[in-house]
Amino acid sequence: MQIRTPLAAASAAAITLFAALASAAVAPPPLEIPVRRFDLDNGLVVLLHEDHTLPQVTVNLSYQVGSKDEAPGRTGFAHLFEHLMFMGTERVPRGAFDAWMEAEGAWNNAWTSEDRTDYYEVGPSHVLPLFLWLEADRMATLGGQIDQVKLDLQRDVVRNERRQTSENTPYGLVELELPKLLYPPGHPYHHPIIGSHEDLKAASVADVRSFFARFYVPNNASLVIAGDFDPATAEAMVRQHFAGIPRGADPHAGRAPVAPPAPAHVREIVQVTDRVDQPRVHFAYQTPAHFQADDAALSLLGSVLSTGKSSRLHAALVYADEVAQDVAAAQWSGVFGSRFIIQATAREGVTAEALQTRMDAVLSKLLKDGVTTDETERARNGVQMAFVSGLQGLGDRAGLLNQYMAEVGRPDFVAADLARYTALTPDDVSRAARTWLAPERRGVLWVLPVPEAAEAPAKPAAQEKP
Amino acid sequence: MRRPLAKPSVLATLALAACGGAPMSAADAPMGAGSQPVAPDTTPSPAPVSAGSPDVGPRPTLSAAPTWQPDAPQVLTIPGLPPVWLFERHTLPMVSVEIVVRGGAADDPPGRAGLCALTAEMMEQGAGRHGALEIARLFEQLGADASVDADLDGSSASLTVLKPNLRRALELFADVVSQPRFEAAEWKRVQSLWLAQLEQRPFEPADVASVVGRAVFFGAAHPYGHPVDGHLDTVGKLKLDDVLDFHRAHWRPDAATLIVAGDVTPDELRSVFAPAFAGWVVPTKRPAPTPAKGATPSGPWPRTVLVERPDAAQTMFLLVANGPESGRADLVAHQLGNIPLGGSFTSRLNSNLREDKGYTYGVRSSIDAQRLAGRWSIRTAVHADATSPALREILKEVDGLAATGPTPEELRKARASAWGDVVSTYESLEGVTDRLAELAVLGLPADDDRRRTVALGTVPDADIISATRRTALRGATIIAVGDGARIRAAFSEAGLPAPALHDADGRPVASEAAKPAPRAGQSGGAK
Repeated sequence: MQIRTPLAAASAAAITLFAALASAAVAPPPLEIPVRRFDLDNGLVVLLHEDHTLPQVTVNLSYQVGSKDEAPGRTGFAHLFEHLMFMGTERVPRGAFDAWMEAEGAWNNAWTSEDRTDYYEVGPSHVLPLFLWLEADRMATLGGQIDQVKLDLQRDVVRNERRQTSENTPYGLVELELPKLLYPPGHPYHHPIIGSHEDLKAASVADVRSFFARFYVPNNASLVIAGDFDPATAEAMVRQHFAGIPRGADPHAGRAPVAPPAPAHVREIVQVTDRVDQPRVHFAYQTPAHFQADDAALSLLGSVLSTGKSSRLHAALVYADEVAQDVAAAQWSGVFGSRFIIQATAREGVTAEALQTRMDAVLSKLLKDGVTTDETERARNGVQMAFVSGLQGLGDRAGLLNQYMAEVGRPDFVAADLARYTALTPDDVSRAARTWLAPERRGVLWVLPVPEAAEAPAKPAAQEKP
Repeated sequence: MRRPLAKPSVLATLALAACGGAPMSAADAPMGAGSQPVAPDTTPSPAPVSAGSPDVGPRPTLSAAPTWQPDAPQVLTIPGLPPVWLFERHTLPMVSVEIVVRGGAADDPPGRAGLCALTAEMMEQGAGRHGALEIARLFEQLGADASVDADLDGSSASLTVLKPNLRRALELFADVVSQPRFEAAEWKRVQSLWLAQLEQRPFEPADVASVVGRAVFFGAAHPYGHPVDGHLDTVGKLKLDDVLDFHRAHWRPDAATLIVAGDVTPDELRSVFAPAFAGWVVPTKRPAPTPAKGATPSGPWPRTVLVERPDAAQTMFLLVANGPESGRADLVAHQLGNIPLGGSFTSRLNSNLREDKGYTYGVRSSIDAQRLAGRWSIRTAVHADATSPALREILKEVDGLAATGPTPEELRKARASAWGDVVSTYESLEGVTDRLAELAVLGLPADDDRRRTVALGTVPDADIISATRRTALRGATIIAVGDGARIRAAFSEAGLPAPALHDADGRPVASEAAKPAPRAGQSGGAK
């Protein structure tokens, strides 16, 4: 582990700083992820983070493109494209990307969010040259290599991903419903990342090529190398493989700024039925974007509401009143705005309406009286622990460096990030709650069990047909 | 997300809304090439590239792989503590502690399935001087993560905390382990909430497959025949006295191992840990005997089971067969032999069903080596329309590997990726304590990972090939959760027997009386 600074040095000073944890005045721990940055002429940002604890290396290549960048009628495309990135090029036959890596004990994966798409590889340190070459190869040429066969195959895989994670899982529909409840049509977050079957079916090879040409350019990406490597050698390799890839036009030029958080788009109660045992009630609010004022305060508020048995919602609804079997509340931070979601699942015999009334009682008391010093401290201590603990994994650190690069424009931000939380007072949290969680701002989603009568074997349900 | 998997990212604030998949460990997660895995041609040469493509240089030649084995923990005898396994790592001021005992769900008495799990849950509801809410609040105040968990072969209590708060957190933690309050009011709450959560299980096809797989394959009377969480009727009948008895019988220092990883020295075990656990003494009563091994499942196979979920968007398949139990000499050979079948992305199953056919988001196989028995299983959710061809392709890949064994390339891949898994396990303190706790519960020596890591390179190819050729998966028990008509047709087309109908708890039901799992959901509009 290589969170250098007083920490890794295990000095008495570091210990002393941490000893302040449980007291009222919490000093921010001196966290740091040592990093060196250089930029290529084509705009690619490169970040090097050495850690020789284990003979392991990871590469994280992040493109600033996500479901927010999708064209009308093409929801789900950014994520479908992510799948196509593994389908091979002229130099790398289909299947070889994975086969060559696994032959050396390495593996890879990727994910897509509303805001970004991250590709990463993890493996023994000797595989780094292959990681870099494979990433450079697909950044240089992939778009022109996608044909109808590859597209059709991954479209099927992605549609199965949707079936598995949204359609055939209890409460899986929530992720499909919340975006359109929160955001109006035309907002970049109006649709779910996974997209609709209809739009996925409509995606064409031409779409793939133009998406690649616009977004998969070096000036829209940053590359992290983390782990057991020699920085001079790594820099030379990066230059050798990536420097010849031409810069593209700025893919985000001329994009209209996104409006500040508004009240939820739909404010009537939205009800959906699903194969579930009990009703679940969600309150959803648009809240300030990641790293903006009140973003951290709302994160702490999520902990105050639902982390641990003594949190507000748990203590009241699960423990004391026994009207809910589980509760959750969290700030989900995004670049164009965040969402704050509060949810509770009913106990048997409790209606959605009754559960909502109880949730309202807890919230209105919180908005009226504010949060306590004790609650704020506990939430802050939990965040500090999560920062230290979360930086243990090499892949986690690499991903975080790229997130900071993409969202605040500099990688060395972990201490400043933690300081956002440690600086907060109970008043900050209470004020954020009153500002953003006012009842008139929220959308409400109920997930209800399919009525008994409808369970009789009958005509096929309203599923999409292939 | 490209494939079902992986641990969610780092910090709670990260909106990683990607497209969450079924939990699948990264290294377990499958994917790949054609049905014929692409040969990892190891002699790169400049590939021809169309004119005008940017130059990225030639494919690099790789140097030799590093060699590495995990350090074994120190095994220490400290007065006043159970046997201690200490894995020192002083790079961060953080400590991870795990106490494991050899009482698991396999020790649930007949008719009391779920007792071990509810005992663990009750241990979190107050201990020593503190009630349930108060002790939770105190752990949070210290920024400490503490929990008690049950598994098949053992139970564990875990604590992760920053070093400066270790002493205070340990005092609370020792109370959780040795002085739980087990109050009647808390029991009423816990039992009723547990039942509410069991009511939800039939709605999750992946959970249903696991429960039914266990019940059908092992049989309800086998120590592994019931789910760790229990059943509605067995949990409903449990009494608080049962919990007290289970805790007394199993949570005792002479049946425990104390695993410590992180910023701790042997001296601190004496000065900080031993005083904290001073109240934990060996009872005079003899410890509970370990559960009888249970009959090894013996067929007749193949066997097919259907759990109805009418109009489901996907069919969930689980194939189960006998595999090696822990401690068996040929376990490593089996684990390596599983990787070409379904243990990585480029495995035969995933290459075929996902990458060639697009039937599924992912398919994997695994070796599950427990203390009393082992299983070799395959698991996937496939598009309902592909139920029949997917089953056919699964069986084809099982037969194909059994016929010839892995190729030399697959053997090399298996050794390399299994080694990579070990490295990843040792990245975090929690990874280390979890792994060492598993070894302790299985009765394996503290240095077993070191031995095993070496064995990954040295076990003869012939042993791995032999393990795959003898796979019992050719006569598997096959559980299918989904639309009955499609599943019956699939079994019939595969030449397999007509399925027995079971409910979501794994109990056989007469077909007329079968209560189907809930029907597909519909998306309603705004009101």
